[in-house]
Amino acid sequence: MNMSSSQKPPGSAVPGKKTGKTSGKTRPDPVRRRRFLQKCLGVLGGIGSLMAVYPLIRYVEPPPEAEGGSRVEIDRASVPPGTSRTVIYRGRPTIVVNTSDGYIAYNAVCPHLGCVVKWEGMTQSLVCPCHGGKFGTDGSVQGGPIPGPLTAVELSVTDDTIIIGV
Amino acid sequence: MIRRLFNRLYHWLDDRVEISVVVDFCSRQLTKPVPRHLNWLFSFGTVTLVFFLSQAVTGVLLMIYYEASADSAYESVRYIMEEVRFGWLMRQVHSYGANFMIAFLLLHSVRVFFYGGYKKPRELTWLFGFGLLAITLAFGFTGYLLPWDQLSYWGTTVGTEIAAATPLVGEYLLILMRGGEIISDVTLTRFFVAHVVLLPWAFVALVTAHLILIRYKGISPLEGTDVPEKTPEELKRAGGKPFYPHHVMKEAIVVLLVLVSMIFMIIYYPLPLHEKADPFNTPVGVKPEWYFLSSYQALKYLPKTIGIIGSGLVVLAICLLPFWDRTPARKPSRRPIATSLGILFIVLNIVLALLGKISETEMTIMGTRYHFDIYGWPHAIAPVEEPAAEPDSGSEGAE
Amino acid sequence: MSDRMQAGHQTRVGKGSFLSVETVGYPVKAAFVLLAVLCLSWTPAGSAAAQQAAVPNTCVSCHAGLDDEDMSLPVAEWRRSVHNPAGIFCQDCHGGNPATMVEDEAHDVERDFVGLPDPYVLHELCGECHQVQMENYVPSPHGLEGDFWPNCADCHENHEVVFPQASLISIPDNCEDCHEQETMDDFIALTDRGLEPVNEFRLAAAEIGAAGVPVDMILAQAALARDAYIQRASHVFVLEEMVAVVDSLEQIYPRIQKEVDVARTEVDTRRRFGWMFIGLFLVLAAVLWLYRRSLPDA
Repeated sequence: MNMSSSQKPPGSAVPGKKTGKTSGKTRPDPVRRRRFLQKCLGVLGGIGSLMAVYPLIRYVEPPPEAEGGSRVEIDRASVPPGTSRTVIYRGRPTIVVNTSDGYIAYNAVCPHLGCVVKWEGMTQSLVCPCHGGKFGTDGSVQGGPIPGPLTAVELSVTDDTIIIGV
Repeated sequence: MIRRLFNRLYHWLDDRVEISVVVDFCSRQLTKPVPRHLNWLFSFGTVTLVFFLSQAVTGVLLMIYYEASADSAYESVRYIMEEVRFGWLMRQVHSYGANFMIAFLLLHSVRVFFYGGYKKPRELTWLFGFGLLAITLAFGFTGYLLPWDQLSYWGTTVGTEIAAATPLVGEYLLILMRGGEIISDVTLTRFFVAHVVLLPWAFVALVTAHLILIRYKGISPLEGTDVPEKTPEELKRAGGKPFYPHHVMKEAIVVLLVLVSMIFMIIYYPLPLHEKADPFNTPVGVKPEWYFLSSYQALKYLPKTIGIIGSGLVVLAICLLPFWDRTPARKPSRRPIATSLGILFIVLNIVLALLGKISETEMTIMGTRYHFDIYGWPHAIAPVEEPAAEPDSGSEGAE
Repeated sequence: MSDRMQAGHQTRVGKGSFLSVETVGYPVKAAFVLLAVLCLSWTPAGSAAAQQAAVPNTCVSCHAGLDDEDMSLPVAEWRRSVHNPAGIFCQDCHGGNPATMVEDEAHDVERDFVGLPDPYVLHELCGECHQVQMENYVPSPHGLEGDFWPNCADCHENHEVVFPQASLISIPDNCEDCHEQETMDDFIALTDRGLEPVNEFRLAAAEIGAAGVPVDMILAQAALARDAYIQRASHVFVLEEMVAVVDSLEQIYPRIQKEVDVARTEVDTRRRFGWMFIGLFLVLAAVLWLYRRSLPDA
């Protein structure tokens, strides 16, 4: 693709003599002209490659989420008081808990090493099964080698559904 | 600076794996002189090769999101075209690329035919080339089904139906190809496997052999096979120019211009994705892709068995062309029979393809509405009077 | 719906049988002489199959050739109508037997043959398919109140039923006996205001869709708006009611327009992107050309 590779075109070592004969005497220096054109080719080829690679990279990137995909609705009946349910919201596991103080929702990925936390009704806390991490109903760290709290996820509740990501 | 770094890397490699042997060999092959008569027509092969590479790249990228199952194939293609960034571009480049690749492969073989390039000692090159043509058509045929829309589903149905006409083994072949009585999930997966695994590797193998032979034997001269061929030195003295850079530049220009036309087509006439395949609802006027149209149309005029055997013989004759056409002359003007037969064959194919194109359609010519039956034969329906004003689409407006 | 269109299409295949080859225009004939030589010997092989596939309609084949224009004209009119491609045939309104060549059997009263459907209950006949329109029409000023006058055919024609347009509202000699021109103008303007945007959205969607950008949302919303108009505004013949409907639709139109604009921008972006490549490749090709010319002859 790149025409200005370090390989010299054959004949650039023996300049001028024949070229002058065939392609007009008005051109001052065919060798310099060729060098210049080679550089042009290099630059244009480079631009072209970048332009061609751009869509490829953008293509491989995860595609933008479709509208409406940013919202998950679940049936209220499927989360009785004191239990939890984990759903995928914006590509991440999200845990919804029906606590005695109402519904809460957190990004269920533990900030420590990425395991998915579970709801423990007995202790009223979210527990990570991997390294004993423990979070309160407000998402704060209550034990274990956890670097930070869970990220809360917005939710709203209607008569019979819970809407995650208002 | 960069050059110094490059040189050091080169020497480092050379000290260890003697890369210079390979480099020297390659550069000698690259700068081998080609005959003077090489003109723009001699770049079609390269164009085809470039399209193959482009198909490989876009094909791999499409596979990232494509799902080969009857349930989700269509949705995944739709997803690629509508949700994935530049997904539309990948699919368009891939589907247009397929058409362009086949077109230029056909042009390439026509060129080789008229320049007598298949003659001794290049019979093997022709054979490999024929294999490549067959593989490319198989690529087109298998790839056509993958989007799983109505057109591809029914196009493949009629396409595979042709195989059923083969004497003795027809039914068996059909079942084998479809993996069942009708085109289904099973068909889709086997077509997919052929399209992304078997055919690409077969293509790579054959194209390697094809290219090695071309480099090894050199480009076919215009003189007859009874004249001894020139050595590279003689060629050089006779005014032959080096393959690189002279001919490569020519090819690069042609490639760029072809790409320009493809991009133009993509942005102004993108290939559509039709409705999802429905095995219980055949659309009217189902036809295979344009490159199968002429044989498809020819088969309509002939009784099934004769048609299939006849076209099989024609294909076999083309494949074995260098073995029965052993006249020494290469220049088209020196072999009038072969040239006129070739032209006749091409014209016949174009006519058949056009007949296939207009068959089962309606058209208004000089104020009369015609319906073209399956043979492409016009039947007048009614003189066209004032067309019913219909600002809206279809009959749903009547509701 | 598309099934119906196919049905209609296939019927036409049958009509264009071999007899009508005689009527092929001369220039076309000449153009096909060459091809004819190619095909003629093989042609009859499969034509039987093609004819079998078509449903014969004897009403059309007989009436089209009748000398009495009152009896033959309806066929020509029907051919131009939207009912033809939609697959609605004579027997769907007139009854009778469309599969026999015997006159008495074809016009058998036992098989519900009606030469002239009763104009006072015509809406019930049309309403078998056009239900919403009938439901709106019956209680309207033209329906019960107006003793079913004018009826469906008075405005929409009986045989040459074409796609409804706002101009139907003021057919000369049809409306002006009772209505002022201004009243009718009001109705026309209102119809245009309600439906013209939908048409524009559809045209835009067709154009954008052909350029490869998805338009499903636009089409769906346009269809919804149109349905709302048909269900609540068409054939009610009361200006105030229609104004309310159109006003509410006009609340929705800007939203659809916005989606159209977004899709248009996407088309433009793609084209600009493509042209960038085209430009670059052309320049590259030009430089290659110059470079090739500057090469010394080896």
